Amino acid sequence: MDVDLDSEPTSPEEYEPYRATVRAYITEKAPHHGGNRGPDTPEQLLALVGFLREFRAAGYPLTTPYGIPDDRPVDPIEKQIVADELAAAGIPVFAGNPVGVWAISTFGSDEQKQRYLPHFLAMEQVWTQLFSEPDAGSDLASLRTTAVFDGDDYVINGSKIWSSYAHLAQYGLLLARTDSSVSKHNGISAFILDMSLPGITIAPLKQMTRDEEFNQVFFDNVRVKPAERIGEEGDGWPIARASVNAERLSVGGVSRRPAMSPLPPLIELAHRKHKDGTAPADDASVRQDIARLHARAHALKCLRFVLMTRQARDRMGPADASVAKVMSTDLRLEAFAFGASLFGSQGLYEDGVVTDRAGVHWWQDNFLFSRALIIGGGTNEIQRNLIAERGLGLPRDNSAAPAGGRGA
Amino acid sequence: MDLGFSEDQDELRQSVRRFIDQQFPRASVRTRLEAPESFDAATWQRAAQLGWSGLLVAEEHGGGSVTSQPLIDLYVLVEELGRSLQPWPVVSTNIIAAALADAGSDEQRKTFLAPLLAGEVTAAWCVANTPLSGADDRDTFDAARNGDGYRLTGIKPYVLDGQGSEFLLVDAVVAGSATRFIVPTATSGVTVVRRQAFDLTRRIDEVHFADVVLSADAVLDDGPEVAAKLEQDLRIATAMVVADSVGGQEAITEMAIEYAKIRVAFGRLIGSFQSMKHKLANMHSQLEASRATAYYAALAVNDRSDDADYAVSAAKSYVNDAYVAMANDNVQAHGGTGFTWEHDAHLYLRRAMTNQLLFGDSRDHRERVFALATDG
Repeated sequence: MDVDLDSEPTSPEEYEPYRATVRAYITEKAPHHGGNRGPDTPEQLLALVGFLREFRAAGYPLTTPYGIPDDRPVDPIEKQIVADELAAAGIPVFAGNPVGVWAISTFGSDEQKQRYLPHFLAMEQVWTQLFSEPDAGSDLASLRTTAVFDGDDYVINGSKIWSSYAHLAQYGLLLARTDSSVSKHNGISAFILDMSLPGITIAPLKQMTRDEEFNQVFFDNVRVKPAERIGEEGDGWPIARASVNAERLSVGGVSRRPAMSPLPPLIELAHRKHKDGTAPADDASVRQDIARLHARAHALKCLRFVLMTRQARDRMGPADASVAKVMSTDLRLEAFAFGASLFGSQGLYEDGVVTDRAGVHWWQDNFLFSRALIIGGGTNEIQRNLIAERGLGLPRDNSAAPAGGRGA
Repeated sequence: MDLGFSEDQDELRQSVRRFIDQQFPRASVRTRLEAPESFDAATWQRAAQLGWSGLLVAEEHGGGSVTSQPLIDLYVLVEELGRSLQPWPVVSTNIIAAALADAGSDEQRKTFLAPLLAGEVTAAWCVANTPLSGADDRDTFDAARNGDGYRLTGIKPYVLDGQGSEFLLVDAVVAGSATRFIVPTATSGVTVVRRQAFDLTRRIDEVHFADVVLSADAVLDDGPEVAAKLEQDLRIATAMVVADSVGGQEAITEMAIEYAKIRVAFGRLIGSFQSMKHKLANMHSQLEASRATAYYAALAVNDRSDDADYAVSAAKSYVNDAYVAMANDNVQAHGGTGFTWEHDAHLYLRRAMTNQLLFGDSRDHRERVFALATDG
């Protein structure tokens, strides 16, 4: 069979020396922050970006986020080997949220592509996403940040929230309202925003995990050149939708292997012996629960391959990304919660080091972070609405009954 | 890497669906819910002549697959059967035919294989009581040497389509070694007892063996590979139960969506209520993940991959649990109508719960998932 669903890396034998070289390079040089979802502090982020920049400059091919096209020829097997080895070492292949780069590569002008893509691919830029607002989260189209053209520039006023790594980013993808006289979906435009412009204030938000990865960003008469607009004025909504979809596929694990699946650690945990010599796996209900999670994770891996096949055949459905996102984020939450439960009363403390899965804190922290994935990129409730409305053709919430419908 | 059906397989699916629509649609299945036989011999013969009986049999023995992946072809066929609750003995026929082609003597092939492939007769499979075969304490079957021949005693429960069958493939363990017999159902001492199956679209019988004496030429296969062959046949049968489930999942998802688009309550289509949308979105999501998992399992068995046992057990437990949950949701989505005898919702619920039990229940397969995941 030519499908490898296991995390155990396989490649032709003649590539084994290459794999060894990659592994040695990573072992020697990669920053070991021990995190499981990305760098948590500015120092860690800079260390990661610095490592990736050197790694790529040394000629190793990185898997580009969201399928952004690479500007160098790449041997697909070498690329897979690098991806496997980085994943095994828990090293993310990018930092920040490069959805703006994806938008440029898909919708940007040639000039914009030349100006930004090579620098991003060379790991010289960190990006953030400026979509959600305090009063426009899942209902993104209600956003109120304005961009008013004064003859020379667009003048931006308003506020954005949940912008990951905005405090460390050089650029952001901004959605702002350029026309309030048309319907809410038609009055939005997309901009590339230089985060160092005057008038931008960034306030970090502390999360339930203690991390400060998200930010609120305020704009006070920030001046942006028309050349930084992506697409035409009013094109912002379709660009935003496509970008969110690209992000969702990534969160759903369609385009990259989840950095660290909770299942192998769960199995390990189940076999770890207590002082009295027993192990959680002695309990049939524990075996059953873990096997249930394991089979679900397997089902999602299979689905991921089906979706990749559909992508390759250009047959993706409008609900596919949402299906993957909902199922994978729900599973992660349950799996980490179950792992934490195997520690019993130890869960009363934040026991152990957050970066070490041997202790309950790793499980607690991952469980808490899983909440963010269920909410971010459009809550799973909104995803289910999208699946129902766009995928299954069910009527919008406010539709009245049509004539001729059946009913009591 | 490619996890999708080929064009030939899509074509096969369309032709199977056309045949069912024309020859035996769901409405026809309904007319036979309480009939002694769940299908009629003439229609089965037409289906067999389309090649449904011999997908796993080489052309030189009168069979042939559509593509180079015989089990994926069978998967497509079985998924379509499950979609409209078809009663045909397709899986057992294909397994028995392949066993006869593989190990049968010329005499056995002539007597049993040719008419089986042609659909002139049907056969039933009495599976050995091995782990994940679905057998339990009700199985009192025993086989022993009797001079140059054999003696079979006891009861084989849970035999699909025993009544009406011309002959049986009986898997047994004789003095510790796996042995396969071909036994004409009319043999003295063999009685097929009809039980009321919970799944109204299927007939699940008990086969009683009252000191059935067989000569040595009743043996189909007793070589050193028999145990491995039985294991592979169980993998195939289990993967095909899963395929049947995916077809059913697709049908009930469509059924529930369709109803939500026409049924009005409180002046609105019920499909505009978020609680219904989320229920239907979940059904759709489970269908997508189930089909991917089922397809992968069939592929793993077809290719005899190292992870075939894992793939089959993960699929068997995941897909069938999802099918049961979805069949429940489908009843609920139809409200009172869904509770009526006349509505097909309960037929799918009964079939889903039956599929959950055939060839090892979810609990047993999860034990194997855990064990295999532990081994690496």
